Amino acid sequence: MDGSSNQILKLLQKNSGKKKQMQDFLENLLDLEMECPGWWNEKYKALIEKYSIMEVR
Amino acid sequence: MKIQNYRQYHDIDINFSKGSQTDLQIFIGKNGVGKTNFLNAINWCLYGDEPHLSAESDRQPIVNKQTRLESSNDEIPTVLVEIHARGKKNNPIIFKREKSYTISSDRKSVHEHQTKFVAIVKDKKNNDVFKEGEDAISLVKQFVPESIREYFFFDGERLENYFKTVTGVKIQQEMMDISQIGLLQSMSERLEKLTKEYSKEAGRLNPDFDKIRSDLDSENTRVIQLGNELTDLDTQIESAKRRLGEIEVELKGIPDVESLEIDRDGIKNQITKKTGLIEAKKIEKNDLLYKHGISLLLKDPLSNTVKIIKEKHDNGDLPPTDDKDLLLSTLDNPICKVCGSELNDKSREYIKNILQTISLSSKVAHELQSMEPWLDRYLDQNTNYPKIIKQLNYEMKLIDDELVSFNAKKIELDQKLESFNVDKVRKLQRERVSLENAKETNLRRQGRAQTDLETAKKRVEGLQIQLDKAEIEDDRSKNLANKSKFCNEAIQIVTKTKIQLLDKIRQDIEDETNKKFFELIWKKKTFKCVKIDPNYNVSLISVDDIPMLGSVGKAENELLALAFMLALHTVSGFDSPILIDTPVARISDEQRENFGKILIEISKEKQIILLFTNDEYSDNIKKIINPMASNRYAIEMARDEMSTDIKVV
Amino acid sequence: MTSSVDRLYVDESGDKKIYDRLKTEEPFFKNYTGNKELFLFAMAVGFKNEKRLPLGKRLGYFLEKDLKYEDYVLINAIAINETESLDVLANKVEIFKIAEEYAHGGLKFLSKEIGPGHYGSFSKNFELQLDKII
Repeated sequence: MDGSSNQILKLLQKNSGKKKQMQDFLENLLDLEMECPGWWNEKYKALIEKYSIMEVR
Repeated sequence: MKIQNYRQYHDIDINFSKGSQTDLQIFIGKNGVGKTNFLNAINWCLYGDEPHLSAESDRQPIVNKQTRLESSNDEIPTVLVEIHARGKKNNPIIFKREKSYTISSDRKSVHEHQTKFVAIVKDKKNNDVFKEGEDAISLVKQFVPESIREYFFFDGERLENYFKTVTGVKIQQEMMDISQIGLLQSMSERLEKLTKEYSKEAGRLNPDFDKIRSDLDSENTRVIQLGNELTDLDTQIESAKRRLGEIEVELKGIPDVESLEIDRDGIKNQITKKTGLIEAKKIEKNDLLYKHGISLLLKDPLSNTVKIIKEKHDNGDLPPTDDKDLLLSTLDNPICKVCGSELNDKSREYIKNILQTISLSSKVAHELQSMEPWLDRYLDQNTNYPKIIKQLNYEMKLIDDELVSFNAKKIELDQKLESFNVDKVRKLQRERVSLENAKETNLRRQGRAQTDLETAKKRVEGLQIQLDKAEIEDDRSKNLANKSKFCNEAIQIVTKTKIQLLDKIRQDIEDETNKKFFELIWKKKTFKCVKIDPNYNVSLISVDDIPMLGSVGKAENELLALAFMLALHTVSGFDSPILIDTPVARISDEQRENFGKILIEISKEKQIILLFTNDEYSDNIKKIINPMASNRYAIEMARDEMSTDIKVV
Repeated sequence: MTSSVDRLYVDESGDKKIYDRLKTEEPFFKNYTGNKELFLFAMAVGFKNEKRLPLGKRLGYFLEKDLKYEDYVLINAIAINETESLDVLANKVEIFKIAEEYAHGGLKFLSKEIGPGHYGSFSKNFELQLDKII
């Protein structure tokens, strides 16, 4: 399973291009998904808040 | 695994210890002893259901018979299945399902009492952490997701019908689940939801912002347009005024063509009328001339006759006093025709003397007398003629004069019109009228455009104010817009990744399926390869490049299905075990060896649990597997047939 | 003297043709398509121009009963003038003969006054003639 998720992560990072923020953001999301959390909405928003701002500024 | 009171199993404890080379767990048992219910137990533990229940078992309550019979009336026995497994990163995880039942007095039926499902993991300090509800289910999902459990815990029979029942879409979906691409799917779906939320929120903040901006833009455009329109109209109106002035100068001194034409028409009509009148008069004159003419031509004889009659009157011959004819005829008679007396010589002499005095015969006398009034008339007519003819001539002259005058006028008009070039005048006249109309229209349009421009300018002012106000709020919506944009970017990346992975997986599965299949198949030269298209339609291609799935035999089909499933496992990220109930029942002896070898290979990387029937576990597979199996268990029914035991062989 | 004449005659050789021409070629006569009217006119013209010509072969032109008494008056007056005797009034045959001969002569005269070159001028000339009479 790790192998597979590693593969996913690698590909996500590759497709994000040079955007470090996006890469980190997606990695966090992936981890989140693997955990299958209950309150995904809040957790997602927090991540978006964090990384989207960093992206802009 | 621990099983208590579940169907045939009263109390079972199995340790699936790994072997040195493989993790291959073999179970052998007769049909009907509970082999399949072993598989059901696992399902029941993880998912709470029993998908492989036989008709026979279905009739029985879930609670083990022995337990049912042995428990007292007050006892509420618990059915328990517990699975100890290795989860993510090899961390231990325990899945435990317990359900207590009340037993009916006749011991034949049960009633659900309480249920409990829990997943137990270790924390960082190695303490047990109990997960229940959603969290527990979530952990099951990470272990073997329910939607694709058939690929991990399945009935060997299924292999036979695999391609008949499974559609490409389902496989694709299941691929997503197995390979964890489902994670990406979930990610993009959630990001999508949030993106929409952000947009909606931004919209709520200043819903009209974009609208205000676009309204302002279009209003500004309109102001410019109207300005241009007014400029054009001014130019046109000025140009019309100038030209009208020119035309007026040209036409000045020139009579109005129209009215000249009208006059001319009037005169023409008069001429026609008068001409008609003259003709009538001519006819009248002819009549006159004829009537009077005869009497005038015969003036002399008529006058003479009148003279003669007068003389006769003077003479006394007229009117006749005596009838000459009568007297003449009397002479021839003896009796006087006048008085009726007898005639003698004397009386004859007397009559003769009278006759001598009479000059006219009676007939003539009568004739003359009859003629007299007519003769008078003719002479009167003759007398009147000069006057009458004079009057008539005079009337005719008057009309003629009028005619002459009208003709003269017509000529004058014609000359006038001719001399001033009628066509040119007409053209100018028409242009003048048309310009005047156009000028009026333009003036009206000018008025409207002016009003519209003022309105538009006011609107621009208003919108600008609105926009300024909206821009203050815009910062917040900018933030939201930014987040939305970020999410969209992420979605695109995730989707792209998903597609790439799906394809890679498909390709990997295809490769792996090919590998496994050609390891297994005995007719190597018949088949060329296995193809899996993007819709996960699996096809076998013959050496002649013809797809041949429909015409493939049962065994080959099963081999393909198995190969495909094994490929799924290899490619998917799950480390969970594979459990196959009656793995080789449909396969011939010869292929069983191959199957055995394949399964051994797989078990070097993955835990494989196989449940064989006695017949199934024939010698040729036995000899392959036995040396490599980590554990071998026999599933046997107890002598009292109340329960089944699982014992290590 | 009794008379069996019931019609008046014209010269067969050409009179009818002339009468027809009068009707068709001269507008003055267009309204008088009656033979009697034309005959009387010709008769008057013949008398005025002293042209009395005997008829050749006779052709009936109109019936006596067409004559009105006012027409008789004209014929009688000519006859009286011609014979210088009132007795002619008792001789219808003679009266008619005189009328016919004058009509025949008058027609000859008229035929020269009409035709190509004369169209429409007859009435004018006739008017002038009448002016001389009055």
